[in-house]
Amino acid sequence: MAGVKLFIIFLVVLVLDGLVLPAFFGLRNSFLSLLLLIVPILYMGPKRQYVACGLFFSVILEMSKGISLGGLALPFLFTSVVIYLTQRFLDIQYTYDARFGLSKSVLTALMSVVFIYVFSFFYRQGGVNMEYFDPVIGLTTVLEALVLVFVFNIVFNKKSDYARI
Amino acid sequence: MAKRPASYLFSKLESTGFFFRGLAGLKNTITENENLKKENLGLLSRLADYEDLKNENDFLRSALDISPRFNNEIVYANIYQFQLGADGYDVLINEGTGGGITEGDIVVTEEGVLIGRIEEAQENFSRALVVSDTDFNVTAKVLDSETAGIARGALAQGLYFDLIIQSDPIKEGDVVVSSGTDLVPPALIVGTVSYVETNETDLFKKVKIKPAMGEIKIGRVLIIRKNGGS
Repeated sequence: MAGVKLFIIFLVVLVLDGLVLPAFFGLRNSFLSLLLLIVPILYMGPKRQYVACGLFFSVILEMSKGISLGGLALPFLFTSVVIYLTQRFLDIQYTYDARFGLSKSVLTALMSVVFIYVFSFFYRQGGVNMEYFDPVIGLTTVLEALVLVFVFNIVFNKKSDYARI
Repeated sequence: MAKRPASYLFSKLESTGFFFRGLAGLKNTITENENLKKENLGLLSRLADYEDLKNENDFLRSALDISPRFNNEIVYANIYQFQLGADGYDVLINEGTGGGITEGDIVVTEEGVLIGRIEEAQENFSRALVVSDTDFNVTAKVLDSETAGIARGALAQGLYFDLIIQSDPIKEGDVVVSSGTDLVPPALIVGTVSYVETNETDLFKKVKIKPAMGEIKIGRVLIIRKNGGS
């Protein structure tokens, strides 16, 4: 069931990002579709189910955005491993309790921005684009991540949706 | 057929968005209208000069048997996706190699504003790098001035105008156009100078350009083929 909900959110994001946000709202610094790859495994834990969903979404994104096969899926896998290791070894299970807390939501949003930069690092095969460390891009990404986390707070409200590592 | 609905939707949403954003800025309309009228008169005067020079130029070119300055073929297309990916800005265009598009072709709007350069062309669509992408650069000059340099993309910061030495005259509000000394045709509008930092200890000024494509509709574009369509 969680997969179906996630897929519906993904479809909405797919239409918003790149089409509605830049055309209607004039927002051209949106990372929404990449955030949707990161936020589920950050929010609900790197369960096999959500990594598989992320891979599936990556492939659809690659097709819809004209990116070569594996262009997003591989950086996503590497980022998932980093998230898993971070949560496993640093024991940062920040989202599983008190999900509706504002501070937890903000923390998750900030963490997802950090992992977007990690994703970008893998995408560029180790290269770092300093222009991404820009207040406008950073703030837009934080706000978008916050919106996604709040949507997740509403949609994923069952204990079974979450993993404990 | 499948490529059309997205570009149609993009274009319609963009027009609607512009309409609502225009409504939000209605309170400044009177001042803006006065400024535009003044600017319009100035432009009409320059247009008259331009027509005169163009006629003279055409006459001299035909008299001296020089080929036309601009004879590239143009392809009409639509943008259907504008995205900031993990690697930078790019747009997807609903024309590809099937429509004669090749890598390196230049994307402009009907107003002559530079949008970007085709980076990858597939059969039915192509991907273009936007002027504010970090991999994009173009030789450019300030309009009505000898000041010239290289404009390079800086994502949300717009573009940086490099190689402007301290003695070069440049100020905020100056219009920057392509100079035509690289693969981009001349006189395409890149943007306006938004920031100038002068530091006597540095060799070059720090100049930022606000891209002109940020304030116009980009749904419909023209693609200037680099090989003149041959």
